[in-house]
Amino acid sequence: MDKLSDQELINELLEATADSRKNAFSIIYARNFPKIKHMIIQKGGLEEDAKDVFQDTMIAFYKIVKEGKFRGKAQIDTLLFAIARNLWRMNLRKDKTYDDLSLVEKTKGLEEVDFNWDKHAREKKLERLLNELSENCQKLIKLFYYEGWAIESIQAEFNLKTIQASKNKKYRCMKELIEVFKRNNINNSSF
Amino acid sequence: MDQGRFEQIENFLLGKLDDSEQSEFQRQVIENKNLKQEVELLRIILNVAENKSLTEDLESIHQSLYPSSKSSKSIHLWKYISGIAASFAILALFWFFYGEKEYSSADLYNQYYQAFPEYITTRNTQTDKNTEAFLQYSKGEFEEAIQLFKTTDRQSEAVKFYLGMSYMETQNISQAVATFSDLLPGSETYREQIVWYLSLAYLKQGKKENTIQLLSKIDENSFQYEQAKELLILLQK
Repeated sequence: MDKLSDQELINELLEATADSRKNAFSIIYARNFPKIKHMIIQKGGLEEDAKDVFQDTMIAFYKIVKEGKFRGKAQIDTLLFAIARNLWRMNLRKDKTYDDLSLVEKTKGLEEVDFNWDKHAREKKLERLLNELSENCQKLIKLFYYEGWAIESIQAEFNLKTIQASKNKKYRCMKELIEVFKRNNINNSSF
Repeated sequence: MDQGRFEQIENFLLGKLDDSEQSEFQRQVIENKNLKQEVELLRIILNVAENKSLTEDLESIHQSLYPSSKSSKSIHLWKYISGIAASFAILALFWFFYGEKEYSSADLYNQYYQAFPEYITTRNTQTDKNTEAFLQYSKGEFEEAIQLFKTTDRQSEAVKFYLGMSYMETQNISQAVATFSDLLPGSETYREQIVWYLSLAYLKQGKKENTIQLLSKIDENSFQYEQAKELLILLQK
């Protein structure tokens, strides 16, 4: 495993290519999952809980980095651990299975990051709506919007005759998805 | 929403318009309520699509790193946290307790102990067993790591240090103390880490005086200096 610095990892995460982002995710995952898993199991969670918490932590971290809110005052490892611990505490508060929460605690900040968990939580619940699309449309949306493929690559991947045909297909997929969201009464006021 | 309008909104959200076009479109969004709703809906959809793709990538990474683990069918945490405070700050630092209460060694150990990550590059390791041992450690398979570390290059400071950390992770604290105590006098590369983790191992054993003695040796700019300073204050309350 390469020893990349925090700044190098951040740069990789923000690179346009999906490969560099995935490489950075893999390194951060391998470095941090074992200790976060250990922390959650010590606090009464299961391995599957640890995986869920850690993956949500990684998504939140990625969004924080992408939005330029990570100032590098804390180490990535420290920030991830704190996010995961907060997330686990939120879960426990709701479940009320862990009485350690009555402990009075205070934090002093090396890094303070605003992240709208509630909005993010509501967005997470909507992921299932994408499954209402055909597999082809799901794949196209992922390749174009997430992996950053050029429309020419989309044309080749889906064996379409022209660039315009590729744009049309993308539009049809997105229009269908917009309709799915509207049918489920999802609009800006939901957030 | 026709295709032209869709592509305009898409370019706006993806930052593909030039500066003047971006400003002009922003102005239209402010002035046109319908357009604003369309923009916000597409923004939500793109966020949701991104989250789904991220989740798929992370699941694939998890399966490649930990192939034996089962796919998650358990509760998803987000359903629990929805409806809590709308937005709040993540304060990334060290939690510490205050007030009149005196905290036990176990409380403090749980607050301050974090495993040391596997930072060894496996590309240039000396033996296959070394590589495998560090790999097991990075996967959190500490029992396996211990067995491998014990049969590999015992002269290596890194091997001894990670063996001690594996004992810490498996709650075999007396072995961790023995390993770190043996390693400390001649240590170079991991000296700062050994002092910190040995102090925590003593804390776990309830030997506060030993912990205080070691923490007092941690100099400014050393590994975990800030945490050591906090912990000293709490232990000396």
